[in-house]
Amino acid sequence: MNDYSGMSKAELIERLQSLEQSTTHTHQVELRDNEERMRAILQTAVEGIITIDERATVELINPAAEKLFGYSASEVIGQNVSMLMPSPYREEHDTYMHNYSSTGHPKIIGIGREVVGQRKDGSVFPMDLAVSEVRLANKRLFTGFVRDITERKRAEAQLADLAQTLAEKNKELETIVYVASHDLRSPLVNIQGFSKELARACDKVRATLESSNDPKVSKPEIKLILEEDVPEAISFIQAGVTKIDALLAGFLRFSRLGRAAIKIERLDMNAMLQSIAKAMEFQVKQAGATLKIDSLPECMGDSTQVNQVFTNLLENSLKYRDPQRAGLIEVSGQIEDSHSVYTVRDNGIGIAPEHQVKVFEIFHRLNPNASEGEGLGLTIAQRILERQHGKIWIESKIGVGSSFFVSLPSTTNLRNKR
Amino acid sequence: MNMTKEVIILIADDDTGHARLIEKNLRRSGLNNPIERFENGQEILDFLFQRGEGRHRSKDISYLLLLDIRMPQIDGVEVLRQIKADPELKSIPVLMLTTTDDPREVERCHTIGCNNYIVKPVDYEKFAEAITQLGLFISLVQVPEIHLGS
Repeated sequence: MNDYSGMSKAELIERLQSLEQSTTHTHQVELRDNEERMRAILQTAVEGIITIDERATVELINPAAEKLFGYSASEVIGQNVSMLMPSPYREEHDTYMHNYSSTGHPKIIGIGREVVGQRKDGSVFPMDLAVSEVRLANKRLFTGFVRDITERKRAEAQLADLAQTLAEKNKELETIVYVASHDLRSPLVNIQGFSKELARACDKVRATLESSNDPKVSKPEIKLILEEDVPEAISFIQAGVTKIDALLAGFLRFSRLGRAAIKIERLDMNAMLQSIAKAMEFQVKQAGATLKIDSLPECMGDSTQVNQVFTNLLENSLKYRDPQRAGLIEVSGQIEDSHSVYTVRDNGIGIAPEHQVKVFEIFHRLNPNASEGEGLGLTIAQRILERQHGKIWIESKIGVGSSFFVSLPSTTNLRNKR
Repeated sequence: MNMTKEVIILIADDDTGHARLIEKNLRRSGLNNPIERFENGQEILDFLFQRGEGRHRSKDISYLLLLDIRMPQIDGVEVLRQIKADPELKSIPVLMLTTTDDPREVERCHTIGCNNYIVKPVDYEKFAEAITQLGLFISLVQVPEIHLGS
């Protein structure tokens, strides 16, 4: 119990002041406590938080947002928030703000959406932005919550790429199944058919032998069967088996490609083409052809498989020569953007426009009787190059010749990445 | 006695074995019409359109064409399309031969206007049966004066 009656005026004033101070003190402590709590939340939030006023002036930016945009708080506070946006959003932002305050129709407030942010170094990045509005007694504040979604975007793009690749693979598989249904069944029809012919021939021989007691009488007929029908049937059966065997071997080679480990390294294409030319020297000479190899740029690829691609292209050029003129095969190369592009040009028979896509189809052969092969070379070449981020395409004119283009990542591209 | 010329059967099939089997079975089914074989789409087109240096068709002979679908370069569907687009040739009966029964392909050929569609089955009995039916079909499109199996 305080007894104020015995206090002097001065004592009373002092007492009153001390009381007043203590209330203010408690109030101040509470306020400070609250503020510290808010600050701790802002400081530790993973999301970037930025508060602006009605004129888009930044009042507050938390460390996550500082880190995100590469600015320190002092560089941003007091500035227009549009500094964190690339053009044309930067220019449009004031209009948005103005429209909202005059019409009350929000574009983004309370919704949240994907926008683009600009860092201090000028680089841009995709971000999720959610904006909330706070109405205080004397003003309105807008708080933006931002999150960098570069990684998510990248994953999304990768997923889309993957879906695209899968769709292509699926189509390729369909083609293979379609071709298999045709090409593998064809020889089976012969094997079955001529086996039956063989059986029928045997029946005939037996019947002829049984119907006559004099072997001399039946001889010509039996002779005909044994000399014509039976050998014909056997030869078709054997050809059928050989054909199926070759087709299955081709399938196996093709499927093995997808599993083979590849080692991407810097390839000296001059050395590679010289060694291929040396290995093919006899073939080229025998064909009476000339092989010219220009100076070629390096590229990145798997040595064995890229060698296989160029060997195949040169073999094709030799195979499909025009008998009207001496064969000329030229290999050249140049760097185009991030890729080394090589050209194998010949003056052979050429390929009609409608057949140019088909040459990459599995087991497709334009002239099955003209030369050996299972119709797999270009299919495999295309497969090899796809796996090494390369490409193959063709330009050709009937009676003039064909050019096959091969592109592979260049070595300069790699240097830039590192 | 027989003044009407026989229908000549044309077989366009790049597989020699298939062509032989078809021929043997047609003979066995009692058909004696002359048979001419063509190894690819270009050969049969040159014959029908009387181009190039090879064989050419005659104006006063009737033909029936057995056409394989999958041939290198010009395939059977393209041959069929060109035949059906020609006012003179479009009346030639065309029977498509194929190792597949892919409904899309069957439909495509019927749309262009083939008269019949025969799947070459791996099962030989079915194959022989299909060809025998084909023989019957051919005998029906022939002019009546012709004696079969004579």
